[in-house]
Parts: sequence; C-alpha cells; structure tokens
Amino acid sequence: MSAAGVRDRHAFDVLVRDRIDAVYRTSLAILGGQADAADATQETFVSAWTHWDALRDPDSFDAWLGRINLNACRAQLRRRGRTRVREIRLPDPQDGGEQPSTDRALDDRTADADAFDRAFARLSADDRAVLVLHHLQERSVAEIAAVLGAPVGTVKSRLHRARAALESALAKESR
Amino acid sequence: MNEQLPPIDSELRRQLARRAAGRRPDGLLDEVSATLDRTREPRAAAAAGWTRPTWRLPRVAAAGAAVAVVVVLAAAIVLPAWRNGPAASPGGGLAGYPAGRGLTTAELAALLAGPQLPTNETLVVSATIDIRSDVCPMNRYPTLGVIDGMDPQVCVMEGTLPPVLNGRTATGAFALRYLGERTFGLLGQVTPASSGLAFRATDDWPLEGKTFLVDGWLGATITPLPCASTDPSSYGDPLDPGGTECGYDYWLSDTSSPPAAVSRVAVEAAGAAHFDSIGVVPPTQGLYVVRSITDQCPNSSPQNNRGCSAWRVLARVADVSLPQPSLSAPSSSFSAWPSAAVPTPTSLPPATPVTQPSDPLAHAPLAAAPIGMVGSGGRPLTEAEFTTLLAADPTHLAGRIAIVKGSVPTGFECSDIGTVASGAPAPAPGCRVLEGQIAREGYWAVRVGADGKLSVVGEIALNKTGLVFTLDQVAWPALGNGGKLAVVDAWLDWEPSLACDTPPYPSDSECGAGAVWSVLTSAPLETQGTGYPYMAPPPSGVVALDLGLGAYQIYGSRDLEARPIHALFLVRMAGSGGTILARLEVSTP
Repeated sequence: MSAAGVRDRHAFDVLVRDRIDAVYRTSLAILGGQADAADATQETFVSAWTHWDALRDPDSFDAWLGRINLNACRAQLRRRGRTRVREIRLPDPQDGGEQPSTDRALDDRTADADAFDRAFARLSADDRAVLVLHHLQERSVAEIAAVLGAPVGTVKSRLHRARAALESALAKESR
Repeated sequence: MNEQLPPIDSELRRQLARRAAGRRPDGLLDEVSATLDRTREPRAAAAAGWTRPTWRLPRVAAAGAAVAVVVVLAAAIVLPAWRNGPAASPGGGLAGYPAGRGLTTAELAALLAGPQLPTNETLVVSATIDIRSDVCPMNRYPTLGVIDGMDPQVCVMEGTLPPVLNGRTATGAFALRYLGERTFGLLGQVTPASSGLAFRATDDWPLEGKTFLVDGWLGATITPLPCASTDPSSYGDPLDPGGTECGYDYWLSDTSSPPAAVSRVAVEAAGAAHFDSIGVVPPTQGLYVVRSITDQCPNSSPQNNRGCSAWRVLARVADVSLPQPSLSAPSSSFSAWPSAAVPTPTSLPPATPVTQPSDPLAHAPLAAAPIGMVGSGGRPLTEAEFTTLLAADPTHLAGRIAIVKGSVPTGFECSDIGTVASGAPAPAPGCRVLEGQIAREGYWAVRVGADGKLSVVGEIALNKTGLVFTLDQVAWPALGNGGKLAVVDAWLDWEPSLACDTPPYPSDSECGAGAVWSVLTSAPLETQGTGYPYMAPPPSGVVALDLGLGAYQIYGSRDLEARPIHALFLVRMAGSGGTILARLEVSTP
C-alpha cells in the first residue's frame, strides 16, 4: 500500500497493517519493553493519522513515520522514568531463536544480553535510534538522515558518537 | 549505499535483533484501529505548525487580588482547627487541597515531620514569607526568606523567574518546589480563580507575569518534526523550567481526550514534564502550576525583542498524603538547651564555616557540604561542650547538626510509628512531643537554627561499641526502616549520570547534571569511569550502601572536593537505603 493512495480511514488502516510490525519491532529495539513498544507503536500511528496533512511528499512516508516513531519512543522513555517498572522478557518460542546447547551457554547468553540491555539503557533515545537504524535495519545514510532530521553529513558523526557511548557503557557493565 | 557509514557490527546487530525479536502483542492492531476510530482531530490543524496560544480577555485580573485575600483569610479562619486534629482522610487526602486552598503551615509542618519529601516535589502553601537574605545559605539559589511561624525554620529560595517578592513580608498562596532539608524554591505566588485556587482549562487565565494553577489534563501531540539530539539544558532549571521541545505540542485540557481541540490550550511544558516526570502520552491529570510569560518568538531574529506571549507549565502539584494525626509536627523546639555550667571554652567550632551572613559572597558556592559536629574519637558532644560552642559563636553554627548526649527538655519520642506489613509502605518516622513527660537522656542529632534555636532532628542509634558504625559491622535492619539516624564511618563516592532513563532513576532535576548516584563504601574505590556506583556490584570484600546525597548534594559543592571522601556521616536510614544529612567534623580538641 502506497502512502500516496491514502484518502480515507480504510486506506490508512491498510497502511497500518503493512507497517505495524516494523514499527513495533523498531520500538522494541529502542525501548526494550513490550508494553512500552506497544504504546509507542499506537502513538505513532495515531500521530501519523492526526498529522496526515503535514506529509507533503508521500514518497517520504516511511522516513516521516520513522521520525514520528522516534519522537513517540522519546515520550515513552520519559514516561518510563515516572513508572519505574522493569519488565522481564521471556523468550518467545515462536521467535525461532537459537536454543542454547547447555545450561552454561544459557547463563552466558543471559548475562551477555542483560549487560547489553543495561548498557543500552544508558543511551539517549537518539543514540539508540541511530544504532538501530544502521546496525539492525541497515538503512542508507540518506534514510537515516531523513528519519533523524539531520543533515547527511552529520549522520556519520552521530553514529560514531552513539557507538562510542555504547562502548563506554558496555565497558562499565563488564567491570 | 552505506559506504559512508561504519560497517555493520555483527555482534551489535545480534543483540539488537534479540531486543527486537518480540512478537507483536495480540490485539495491538485492533487497539490501534479502535484508537483511530476515537480520534477526530481536524487534520488540517496539525499542518499549521507551531502556534503561540492566544491571550484571553483579562476578566479575572482585577478580581484576582481580592479573591486571593479572601482565600487566604478563609484558610486562616477555617483551618486552624486542624492543628489539633488534622483533617487528613484515611487515604491521605485533604479536603479542598490543592485546587481549593493551599496547605496551612500546620499541615506543612506535619508533612515535614513525616517521611522525607522527594526532591522537586511541588506543594501549594498558604503562608506568609518573611523576606530576609541572612538565613538559609545555599550555593544553588539565592535566599528569599523563611515561612513565618514555622519552627524549625522552613527556608524559601528564590527562583530565576520574575517577579521576586518585595517588601518585608508576602502573604498568600505560594507554589513551592521542595529542594531538601526544609528548603523550598519559589515557583510563584498563586493568583487564584474565582471559585478556589485553581482554574480550569476553559477559564480565562490571568495575564502576563501571573502564576496560577490549572486543574486539568496535560498532554502532548507527537509531531512529525525532525529533531536534533535533545539538549538537557533546554529543560531549564527546576525553578525556571524551559518551554518548547521539538517533537511535542503540549496542551492543557479539561478532558483527557486529545482531539477535543476546542477545550484545550496550547502550553509550553517541556521542562515541567522533564523535572516532574509527567507522562504526556497518554495525558496526565493533575493540578499544574502555570505562568503567563513573554519569550522570544520562534524563528524571530535575536534583535526582535517584542517577544511572544505563551503559557508555560512550571510544575505539577504533588499528590499530598499527610502523616497520621499522631505524627503531628514537633512543635517544640528548644528556646535554650538545659542549663549547664558554661566552662571556659575548651573546644573550637568546626573548621569549615557553614555561613557568613554578612559576607556579600554568601551565595557563592560553598566549599563543603553541611558540616555537623561530633566530639573527638567519634563520641557525642556533652551538653557542656555543646553549650560552650553555642555561646562562643552561635551565628557560625547556624544550620549545623550536632551530635549531643543529653536530655531533651520537653519530652520527645523519636521512633518508628506503626509496623511494616508485607508490601506496605514503610512506616512514617518521626518525633512526637510527649507533653508532661520527664526529660529523657539520650543521644540526639540537634539542629542549630537561626537565632541559635535548637530542634531535634532525631535520636541516634547506638551499636555495641559506641556511636560510630562501620559498614562492615552495621546491622542495618536493626536500625529499622523508619528513619533511624546513625553515624557511619565510611567512604562517600558518586558518579554522574549518562542518561535520564537509567535505573535507579535519580531525581530528574539532576539528570545529567553531575553526581546523582552515590554510595557509601567500607573501603575507597576507584569509581570514576568504572560504572560504579551505577549498577555494578561492589568489589569482593567491600560493603556498599546506596544512598541519596540529600542535603550534601544540594548544599555542597561537589566539584571542589576530591573523591572519594572519607568521613563520619550522619545518615537517616529508610528501607534499604538512606540519605546523608551531614558530614560530621570533630569539634572538640
């Protein structure tokens, strides 16, 4: 479904169905909690609908939606500061993830993942977003620039800074 | 396509893929669809971009001052009965507060006598502020004065938003942020509505420069604007919060429904949302402190000084829960310590001055945190020693806490109140006056107030060997969860935060501002840059206790001091943590 074809709620619903998994997974990668990710996903689409007339170029819809998604994740992070809930995620058997071969491997992987998540939690929403956009979604520099609203020339430096911040946080977690 | 960017890091990708691997919750699509059904936002309005709120007609301007007087008088006439029996409901609510009236000074005293108020909590208090600058030194804000009739004194510091109060006293309802250690920062004097203190979103709000309360829902619409990295400094200061924030259009409404455009008012609320951790998506109901301001117009040149008008949310008023009536404020403070023969001074005041009121640089950063007094060898001061110190230089000692062995003249009992049930909040600690009781011998933390008046902070716990605990020997559970005080020999260290959403979630006002995570340890640690005391466990053999820096952080100048600090600390325990009330210095030879 192309954004250019959206004229009514039905068309927008189709667009939501096409994008909701991608938006949810991006939110999940940035926020790390399923409830937060669901809230951010919902807010992203509601905001996209209410601001629809602000989208001047339907071809840039995905970057525009990604920007709203990032802003929604920022809001969610601030809400989290108030609720202070730590969510424990259990492995989802439907994810088809690799199963550890031994208990020791499970321990290592759990510790590894836990340390990474704690380090990632130290990063700002913007640092998290740029890492997700590049290292997970493998977006082009132009796409990342469009989502972040930053000039192309600065994307590389922001990615470098985010990576350095993550390295620093990981180093602290590993001590 | 990615030739300009670093190569994909496979390990980083694996970790991010793991984080993103959750299955979309069942029903999320339906929830989104249902929410869209309820959303009737006129879409054209969103394209209008940034808009300043329009001014309302000044219908309440003239009536405001008169109503303020009426409200304050009504509170003064109707509510003094509370002093003998607080009108707190079982749920902790107070009839009329805060939308209809401010807290009385008696209610404020009761609050301060209970569990420590969280830093940055905002209260509305009807009181008279005695304006004076020779009290309450703090390196963060200039002094405005003290709240009249409060003993021990309650300080009010001056924010940066104009106008400051003038004259010798100011009476009315005030919006105050708690800064710690019986000290508030002034957000503003509240201009009341016609039917109480608070306005509704659909009312006509007071004009430029006025501070007022709005009872409603604070929300935000997430915008598709591109945003540069958030600059924490844009949030301003807790007493002067910033306004706009890229990505958010804030509003106040009488309802929680964002689409109700006709009943919502565009506001600036970025700083308040940050400092008070207000969730704006979905909207949060509350009583908000709002000020009408004039600020730089968006996209205007710096030379354009005409300015634009706006409503700025300064804070959300806290939900107050008063302690039980049995925890009424310790209204007694010593007018004089029990008489004791005044010997020839054999001791010297602490080396580090707390304040020099006559010093024109009194508001400059202090060189050290509040310094308490303790006797040599970690023993308490005797009454005679304490009296001698007071007689020698009472001004010099103002603001200090002394550890004294002696009798309390009017009969105080400081203990845990109630019991801890599983899952229940910790019992409220406090001291209560035992009228007609004989004096009681004990070890006390005593605060020297202005004019040399003394007040009891609390009773000091003792261990088997004396006054001073080490972290190794201390049996914290034995100190109770109810706010017992202890003198602890330990190392203090801290580490600045990196982000505001990192557990254990410090006060938001301190986000990114420096020392927020602090810890007492039984041995010095090299913590800088190691991540400790963020979340890492202490090294083997080292006992650590996470603490709030409390007054130490607020009054002390952290940057000037080497880390870590080895000293005796006066600590108030609460739950598994606690707060540092003072660093203790030996005050006898």
